[in-house]
Amino acid sequence: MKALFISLLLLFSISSQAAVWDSQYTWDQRWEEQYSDWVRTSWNQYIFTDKDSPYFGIPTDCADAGYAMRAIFAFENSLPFAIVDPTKRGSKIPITNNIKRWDKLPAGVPRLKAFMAYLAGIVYTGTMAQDSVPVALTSEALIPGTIFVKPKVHSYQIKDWSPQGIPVTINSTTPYSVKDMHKYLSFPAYIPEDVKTFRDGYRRFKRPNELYKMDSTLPGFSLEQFIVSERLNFNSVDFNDFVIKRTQTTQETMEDKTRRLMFNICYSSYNRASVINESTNYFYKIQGQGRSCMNASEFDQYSTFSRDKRLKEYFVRLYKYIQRTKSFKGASFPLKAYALDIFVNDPSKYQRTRKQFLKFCTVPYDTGKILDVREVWQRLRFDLLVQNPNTTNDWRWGDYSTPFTTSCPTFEEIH
Amino acid sequence: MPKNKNRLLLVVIFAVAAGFIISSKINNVAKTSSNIQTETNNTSSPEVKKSPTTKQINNAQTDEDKLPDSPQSPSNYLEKIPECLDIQVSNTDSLKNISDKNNWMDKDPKNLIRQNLIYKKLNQEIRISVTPSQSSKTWMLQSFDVDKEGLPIVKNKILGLQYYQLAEKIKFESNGFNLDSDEQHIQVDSPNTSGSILYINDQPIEIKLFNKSNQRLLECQGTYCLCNQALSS
Repeated sequence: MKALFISLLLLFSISSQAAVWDSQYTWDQRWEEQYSDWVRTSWNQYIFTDKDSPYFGIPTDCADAGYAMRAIFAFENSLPFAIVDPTKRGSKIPITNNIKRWDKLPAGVPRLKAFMAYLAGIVYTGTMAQDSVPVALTSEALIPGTIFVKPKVHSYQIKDWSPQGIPVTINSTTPYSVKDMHKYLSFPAYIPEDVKTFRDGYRRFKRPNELYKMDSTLPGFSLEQFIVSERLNFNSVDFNDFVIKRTQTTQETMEDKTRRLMFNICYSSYNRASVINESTNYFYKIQGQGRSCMNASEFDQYSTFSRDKRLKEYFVRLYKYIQRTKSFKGASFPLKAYALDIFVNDPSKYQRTRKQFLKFCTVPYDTGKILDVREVWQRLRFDLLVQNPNTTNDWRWGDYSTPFTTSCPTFEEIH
Repeated sequence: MPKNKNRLLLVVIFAVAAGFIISSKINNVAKTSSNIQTETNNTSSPEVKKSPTTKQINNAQTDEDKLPDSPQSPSNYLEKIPECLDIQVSNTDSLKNISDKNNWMDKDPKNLIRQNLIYKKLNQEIRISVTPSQSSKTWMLQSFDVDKEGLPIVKNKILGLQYYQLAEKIKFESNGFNLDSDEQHIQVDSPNTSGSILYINDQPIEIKLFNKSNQRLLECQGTYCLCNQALSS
């Protein structure tokens, strides 16, 4: 019987030499093109929430989603996936799909999901720079599959680029959970600014054989975006206009642009509502457990500092566009009155009624309470929105004009 | 009869095991040869475009093919730095000396991008990463065990630490282990230069500097260093 036991052990140890998935091919330009096509056609905001998706149930926050995009394509096409080990730069042993840690799990998606969860524990937006390389601001370089990284803040996946020169982005955000990602026809809320170390901006993922080579020797490497950004005094409107001119094949009309900017405002406001609901539910939950304050990790998950900054940026973009476009006031199109109304401070001078505005965009934020985007802007501009998660929906949405105070400790987000 | 049954079972198990071993060996051989094949294909692959840096590499008389396998002393590449930029670094300098001597080095803790610490005791290794938040008001500490493949296993993650708490937490996480390696990224900024230097155990390992005046990137890694045109043609 002892021999039988040893034999079984031997068998088990042999069968345990299994990678997350086996890679049969090598990344080359042809695969990069297929990857880009796949991102354009198959990478979508519901990939982790659609019950028919094989990847249903994978939780993400911002950086995980970018890595997942590259890893899932590699998995589906038997290609290698490798990133620099962020815990030991000198080692040059990358983290790859060859890890044999999950060999007890069935091959295929279950192992991939375990690998994704592992990656989520070690990567964040700060590690994306070492796994990617900055690219030029050209339509040849800014293709689907490119990522935009703002280390320690946020990241986006470029799903497509419109004929008008506007990126279609997908992004996930905190909390780390299974959720729909966000799809925007919009530039990232940030522009390249890191003219010291070039770790942010538009980047392409490195292939496994490129991980430890000097960035500047890699195909497509370019510092152009940093130089352009610095020359434009880091002005996001000017920078994005530069990119539009570089990539557009069709002119974006005033109506198109207004609609795009207003859609982003509505979508971001609406989204904030669902995040705040989740946060408040969690806040009640910890109170039920006898705690009155979130710890640093929970605070990081449920605070909305970055999110609110981006939301404000969307309003500011529309405002600046209206201000800078001399022909705006003389133009005639249905959304114009709505766009102008947002920035009118005296309600008696509104062109559209609340009912009309709510038809355009309703933000339900508490039981029986709704806001239109004009009201969201008024609360944003007076800094009434509360980013601290140790409170309830009404405070988070600025129902009170008195400043929010808390005895709970506050922390900073690290994404 | 039961004895015979056991023997029969053993024979079957060994036959399956042997088959398994042989097939896995064959697979490995096949994989190795396919890797060699693909590597070879890669070298002649049409997508490997000549980067705008190729000319510069030649000018700097660095030939990747001729590089030795093992890293050379840092002095080999450090002495080349002044060819591109006027900064003063010598191979005998420690990190502290360099930051004390050079006013171009930003010593603000917020510019310490990430610090990886590796602790060892006998054959056991633990790693600790310290990451500042964007404003450096709070810090994140992650600790990792290491598996037999040399890859991290997530152990602990603490967010929201104040700077003064870091030393104590690191000591707690590395209790009983000895510091083996210390990795730091230091950001560099001067009127003419910006970039970062990665130090491991006080030795500069990777240097990325950008000459603002002529828009050239100086990037050094391992044993050589070169100047590149920043703007792609």
